[in-house]
Amino acid sequence: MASGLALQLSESEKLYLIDGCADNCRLDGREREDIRQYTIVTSSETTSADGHPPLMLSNGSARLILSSSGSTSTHILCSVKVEVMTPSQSQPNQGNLIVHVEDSLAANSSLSRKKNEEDRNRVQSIISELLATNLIDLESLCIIPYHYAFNVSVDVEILSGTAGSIIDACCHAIRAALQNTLLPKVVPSSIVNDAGTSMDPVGSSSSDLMLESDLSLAQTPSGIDNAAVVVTVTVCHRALTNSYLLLLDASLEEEACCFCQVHVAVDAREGTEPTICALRKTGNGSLPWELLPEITALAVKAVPMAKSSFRVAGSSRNNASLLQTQLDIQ
Amino acid sequence: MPRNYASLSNCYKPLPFNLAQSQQASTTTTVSKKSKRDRASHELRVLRLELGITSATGSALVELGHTKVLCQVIGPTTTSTTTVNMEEGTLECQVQYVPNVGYPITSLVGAAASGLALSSETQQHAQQPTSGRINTQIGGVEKELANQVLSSLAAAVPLKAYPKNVIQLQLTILQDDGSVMSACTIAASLALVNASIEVYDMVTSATVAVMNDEDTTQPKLLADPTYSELEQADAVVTLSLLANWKEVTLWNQSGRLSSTLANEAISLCRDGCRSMHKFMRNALLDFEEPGGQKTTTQT
Repeated sequence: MASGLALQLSESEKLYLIDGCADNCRLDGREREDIRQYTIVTSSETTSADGHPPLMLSNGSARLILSSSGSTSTHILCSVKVEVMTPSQSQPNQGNLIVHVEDSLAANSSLSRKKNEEDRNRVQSIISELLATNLIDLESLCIIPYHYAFNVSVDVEILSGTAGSIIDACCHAIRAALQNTLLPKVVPSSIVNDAGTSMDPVGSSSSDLMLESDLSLAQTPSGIDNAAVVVTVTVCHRALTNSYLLLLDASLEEEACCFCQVHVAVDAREGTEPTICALRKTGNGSLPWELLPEITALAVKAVPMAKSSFRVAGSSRNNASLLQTQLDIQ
Repeated sequence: MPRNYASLSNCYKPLPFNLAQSQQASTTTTVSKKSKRDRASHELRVLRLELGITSATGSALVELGHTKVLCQVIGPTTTSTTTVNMEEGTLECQVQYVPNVGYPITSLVGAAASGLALSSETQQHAQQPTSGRINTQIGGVEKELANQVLSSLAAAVPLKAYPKNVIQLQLTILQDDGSVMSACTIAASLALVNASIEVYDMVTSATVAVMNDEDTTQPKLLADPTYSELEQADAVVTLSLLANWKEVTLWNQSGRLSSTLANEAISLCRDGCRSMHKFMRNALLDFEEPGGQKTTTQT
């Protein structure tokens, strides 16, 4: 129900799926708490000249590919652009981070346009509410308080969502893209009045800031290594035994017959207890009270697994072959 | 025939708009963030629940302190638009802030970052968000609230009993002083009952704000926070419960909380929901149809 590609399953298919989950064997053979491995493509790991990031003109970018058994795959492209702006009056020491999610391929599907737009907005609002303040240290984006700060704008494009688990995938892609973002080093040029008194109000942009052209001085945004990770716990209800089953990393079929989903953003730094930064329940089912602590415990347990279950695909040759197989125009 | 009047408590003055105070607070960052709270930390605000005040099928007005929300239910009606669901009914929800009054504008004015001005004269103007920008921001908030109210009520309405029908909920937020999500859920739930739409259970809702107190090391849990308390809070937890079934239909947390603190906040929400349910029951049982008949409700 997170994208316009929600499946319609018959009742017997749903029963089959849920009974399988109860026996700890899901449709693709995983156990209930197994997470699929995904591939992240960022800039090349090698130092050779032909390595380049997925999107050359953005400050940072990443591609995430999650393929399930069969031909389904979730393919996310994330781009980070940085610009200089005036910070707001109420928070003059902070920069800004905006997350925007687009699902353009689903707009061409046969479902009605209005429902598509609602689903797209849903993914957008869930991700931006869960992550916008929990990704990087906003105070490090400030250049001159009250006058200049960085505005980091993260744009996520969902190229394909058929393997389900879109929100988790978007969050991993955003994290990878931000880890590969380089903030240009910007130095304020000195502005002192001839009389030596207080600074003039900072005027137009061109003369106040100097951009260091040395790329080695550019830095990644601070705090990204401690960014929150979003884990989606899918709750399925088994009517036969009136029991609730908790799944991690749901596929599209499992999302279609789930009772509800809980998206948890967990901050798991080294050395401290994992804390939950944000939590959101979506879906129309009602959870019994005893299930709430189980859900949060499962989400916290899954964070180290989610952080480590990926492999990085590097060189440009791999990029070309990935392009060919994954971006078939249908 | 509904009553043709409804009285709002404290409707003579809108909430004070104090831009100077908020700007001052932002420049002096060492100002302590304590606000005087005139009720205990677990106490709800002055509550007022009224039913059947407009001519819609069902309606309810909820006042949680200064937060005032009106809900109208239209339906079940047929719909001639696009796809009709043959197996079960559809629940639609629409939220609207009364323009220029409902939304707490202090949160928007001066709070928007803007692009670099082209010349120094226009820089002052660039700080203020345009009304168009405010409207799109409010529109996003309205849509989000509508989605959340819908998902918190969907479990309570047996939609299979209303195939091919649409039940529309229209929420108007007259004034937002914090806990607006809870007020909307309560209003919608009461309005559904007032419209004689079959429901499995009443949906109650409560919001809790968690603030780190500088004096003591124990963080404070405040039930039913006002808008200023929400702004200063480190974390906010909202919970909607099916009152008798004791099942959770909406669960939101924004802000960092350790697991013990999160559990405490959820328990406080649950207690708030329980007391809210008692008030809702009393309001329904005391409600008299203008014809003199009391509603029969099994709550």
